[in-house]
Amino acid sequence: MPHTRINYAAYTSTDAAHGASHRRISKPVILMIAAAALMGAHMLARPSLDRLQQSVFDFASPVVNLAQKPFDSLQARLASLASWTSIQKDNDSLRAENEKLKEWYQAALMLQSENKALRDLLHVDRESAHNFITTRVIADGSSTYAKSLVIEGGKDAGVIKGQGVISREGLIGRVIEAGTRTSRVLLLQDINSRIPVTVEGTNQRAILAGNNAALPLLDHVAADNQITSGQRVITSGLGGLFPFGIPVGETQVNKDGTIAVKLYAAPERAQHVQIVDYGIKPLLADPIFSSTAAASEDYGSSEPN
Amino acid sequence: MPEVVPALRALPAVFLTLVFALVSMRSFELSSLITLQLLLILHPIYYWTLFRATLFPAWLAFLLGFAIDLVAGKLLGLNAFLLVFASMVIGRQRRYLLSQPFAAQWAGFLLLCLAAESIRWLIMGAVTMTLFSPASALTSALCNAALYPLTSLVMAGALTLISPHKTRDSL
Repeated sequence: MPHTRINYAAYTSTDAAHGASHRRISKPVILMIAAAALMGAHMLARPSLDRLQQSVFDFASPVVNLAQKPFDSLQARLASLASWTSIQKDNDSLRAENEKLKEWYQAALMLQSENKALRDLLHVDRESAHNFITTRVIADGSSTYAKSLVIEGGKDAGVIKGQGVISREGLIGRVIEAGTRTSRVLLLQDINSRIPVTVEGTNQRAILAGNNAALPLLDHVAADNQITSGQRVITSGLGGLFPFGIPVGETQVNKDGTIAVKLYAAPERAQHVQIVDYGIKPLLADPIFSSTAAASEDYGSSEPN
Repeated sequence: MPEVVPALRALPAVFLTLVFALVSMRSFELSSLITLQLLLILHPIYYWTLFRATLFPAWLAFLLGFAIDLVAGKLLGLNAFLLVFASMVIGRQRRYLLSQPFAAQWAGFLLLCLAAESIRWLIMGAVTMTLFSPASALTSALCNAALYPLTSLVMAGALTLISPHKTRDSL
């Protein structure tokens, strides 16, 4: 049987680079130990290394964005391909939702007018208006192990760590690192995300805890809670992290008794987002907390992504 | 025809490697349950270590991995570790893989992808103290390996530019 012969002579010099000699093998092992040490260092000195990463991204973002542009359209095609499988079902559900929304629109107009009349009657002070910084999503930093976005606008634009980030539909996350020109947003789905929320209609306060899955869970809920599926979840405003009332999602009671939240916003589709400038410095912002690790002391653990 | 400077002939290979590195930084949301994060940088590492080991020494794999970690905001050292690991494993199996047909080399790449994704899954699980679903890691490894015939074709073109007088088979 004929056997393909390979001319190994051509590899004499290159094989030496990866040969069986122990002296050579030790080099990659040393490098692997160095890499492991780097991981350890990142865990220990997270604040400064996070800032370093954000500065590097500030500098490299034009090139990274340019190189990833063709893949944005590929991602959009993938998403549309995936949606084709459920297009009929989506259409039916959207029609039903639209009918429901028309009814709600009329109810909202009536409530708005009633609310205004009552406020005027009681001379209620208006809550301070929030400012919004509208910006563009420039990179999707999400992976299996972490859910984050990189947005345009950093300290130069008035972005500070801890500010809430919303899309058209609702809350998507919070700023965890503000560079000079770009900022990194930790999404609600991320395992390190902890957001104080309220379930409308029950006055039940809870913590929305990310789990790296599509539906984050409600944590610290009273055992005798009256929560049912389909109730609206909004930010509670506690802790000064976000203003009260930003829509987050709808409850979904699981068979095992846990309560998941179906988020209104889909960050993977968001092209533009708004950073909520609450007017007060969020409790998690610099210099009160100088790191994501420190920031999460109140709202859960924090690990590198 | 005038001779092209060897360093210039290597430019397409360098360019390709950088493109793969940049794409490795992003992920593709396949569904609400599966996020693909293709470690595309494994393609040039595998290919160059097999066919031009001097072009991709372990220290370069380390630096490239470190750069990816730094720019992409990942756990520093994770990609550096994975790429050096890949470089070391391929280097050790190089002679054997070179004597095999393309299908076997492809299978070797699949094993490498599975190993790299498993290590990443384990490290991230340990670091975050979380048991992540292995579905995304497995899908990423399989999709990454599925692209190898295409990427190896592109890199074979770059290799021909580096060694214009040798065909890939004669290597």
